[in-house]
Amino acid sequence: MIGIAMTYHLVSFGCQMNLSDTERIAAVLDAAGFERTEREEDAELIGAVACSVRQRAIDRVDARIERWNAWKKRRPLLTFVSGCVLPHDEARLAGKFDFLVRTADVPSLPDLIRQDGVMTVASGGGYLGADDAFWKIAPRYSSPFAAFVPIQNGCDKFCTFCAVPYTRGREVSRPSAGIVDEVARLAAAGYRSITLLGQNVNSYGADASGECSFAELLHRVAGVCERAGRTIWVYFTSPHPQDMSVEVLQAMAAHPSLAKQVHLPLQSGDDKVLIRMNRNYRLDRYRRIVEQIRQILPQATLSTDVIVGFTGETGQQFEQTRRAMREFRFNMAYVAAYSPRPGAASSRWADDVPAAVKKERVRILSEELQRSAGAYNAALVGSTQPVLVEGPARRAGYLTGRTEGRVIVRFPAHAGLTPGRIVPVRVTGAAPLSVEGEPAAEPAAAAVEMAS
Amino acid sequence: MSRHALLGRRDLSPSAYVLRIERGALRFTPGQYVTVGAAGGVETREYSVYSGVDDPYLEVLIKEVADGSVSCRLRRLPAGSPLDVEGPFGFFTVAAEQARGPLLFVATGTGIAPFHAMVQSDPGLDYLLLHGVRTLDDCYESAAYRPGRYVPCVSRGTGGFQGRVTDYLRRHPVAASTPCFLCGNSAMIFAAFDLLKGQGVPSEHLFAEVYF
Repeated sequence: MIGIAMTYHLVSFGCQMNLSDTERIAAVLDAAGFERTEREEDAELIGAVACSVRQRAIDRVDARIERWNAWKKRRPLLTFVSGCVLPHDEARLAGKFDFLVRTADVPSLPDLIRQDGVMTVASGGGYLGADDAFWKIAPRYSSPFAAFVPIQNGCDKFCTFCAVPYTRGREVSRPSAGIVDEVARLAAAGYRSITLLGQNVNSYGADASGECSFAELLHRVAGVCERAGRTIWVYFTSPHPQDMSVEVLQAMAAHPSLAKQVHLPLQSGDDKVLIRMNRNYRLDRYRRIVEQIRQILPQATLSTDVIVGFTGETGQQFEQTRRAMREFRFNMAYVAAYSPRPGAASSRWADDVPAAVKKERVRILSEELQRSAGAYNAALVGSTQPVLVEGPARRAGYLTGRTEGRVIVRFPAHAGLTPGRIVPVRVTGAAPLSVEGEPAAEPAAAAVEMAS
Repeated sequence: MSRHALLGRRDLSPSAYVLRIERGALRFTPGQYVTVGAAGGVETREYSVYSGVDDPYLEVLIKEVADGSVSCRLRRLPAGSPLDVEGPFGFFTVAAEQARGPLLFVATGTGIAPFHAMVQSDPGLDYLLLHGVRTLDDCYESAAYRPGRYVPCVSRGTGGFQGRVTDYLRRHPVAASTPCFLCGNSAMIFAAFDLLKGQGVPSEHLFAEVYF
């Protein structure tokens, strides 16, 4: 029989949405009297919050459950899997884990665990809905100063490389009142960085929920943050180029609390690859959005996602992506070599770009990124930037943090520079993907530190 | 996802068939697609809606794929069988302002399905539909289109326009202001995309839905 004070350990695989789900699972377990341990060896209950976006992530889940099941021969242990799980993988994983919990069933997780002390597969009600209790869970945030706030679940875009519509279901907008309340609580608690999360955040409200538009949501969230009277940077990820509107950019320009940083997934710079990916925009459309960003938010940094070696991608098509990378001068790019996911439409096509070619294309784009980001970073040298202190850097005696545009900054640790504070740092040197600096002492710059 | 009864099947060729499905409360915009699978099964597939918005039933046009786990199974199901249907999805639709002017529709094979739905739903559309087929036997229910609006582009048999859809487009250039909708296999879409861009049609007037 399972005791009430059972210790649990959660392992999150994949993206920020999974991290956010993990925080809510932790909150549910905490509220039910379970005790969290950071050591999986000490846990009586282990949960894996799985990711199906890439095969590697699901392979890692498989590897971990093999190990945990081996432990069961020596001691009592219960395991469950949640997060993004393809229908294709559900039956297989349910056979390895003691039970499977869909996101919508997270609020009833303790009941499932205690059900006669024996785990059953949660048959569940399917995908998460707008009114589900999941949204009302006050999460156990993993950071005391930076938080993820989910505003949406699921996806209706059906990009051919992606399985999310099959794992998380249809796009559902979380009620805006709950989002604004959660942001208000975070602002009151002193949080400095808040990231609104969703698969396509800028289609927020476009489902049947009758919710406001994403631009309106940004206005409301910003209003709450600005009333807190201290610097808070609100980010959002990921928007889809198809739904990016001038109103969203104007909202960002209107509110100091909306961070001047845009993540805009490009995926490919070639129109035909975009068609095969079922990305409903062309390079011209993407280019116009970037032009609007540069015009409305001239200080904004720009980051992106790119997939290389997508099925059928020719050398010429890859060159289009390389040219786009050069044209748009990204500050950060998450470049991934394509890997087919069972369940995603493209898995039915040949994965016909050799691994070595994909690797080389990743390398080429990484060089392009380093060139554009490095030039931006070099231009920061001599300036003083507000930096959110995140924690110790790898180099002893140094701290690491990020600017509002999410440029990584390393600087010497001084007394009082504690994680979670926003402090002025004078940039003294630049590298391709980061800068170095010194805490600024001048009074004008110090004024940036608002009501810390 | 909701459960819908299979009402019947209509064979259009040895490999293509239409499934008529109980519509229930499903609403869609012509050009969108739904996912369909045998009830309780793991696998579903995306199929463009073939029927019109005012039809009391839902129809999808399916090409049976050799060894296809879904298309073969669906063809064997008897009327009355339960199906899992989800949707609608997709953005391959004609905007209201586009519907007022001439439109070019280009399809290969079962890629004609979304155009069939558009034409059934709005008989007043001013369109030209090019349909790439191997033989005239593959012209699925061509009587549904107004005379002169449907051009079968026949690559192997006799009749119709002799040649591929791209051959037709080369001989009959398109006005740059024409919204062009392309649906079917990616080889056709890519070739037509290049050709139409070369004729001056801007990419924002080119809309594509790849079938796979």
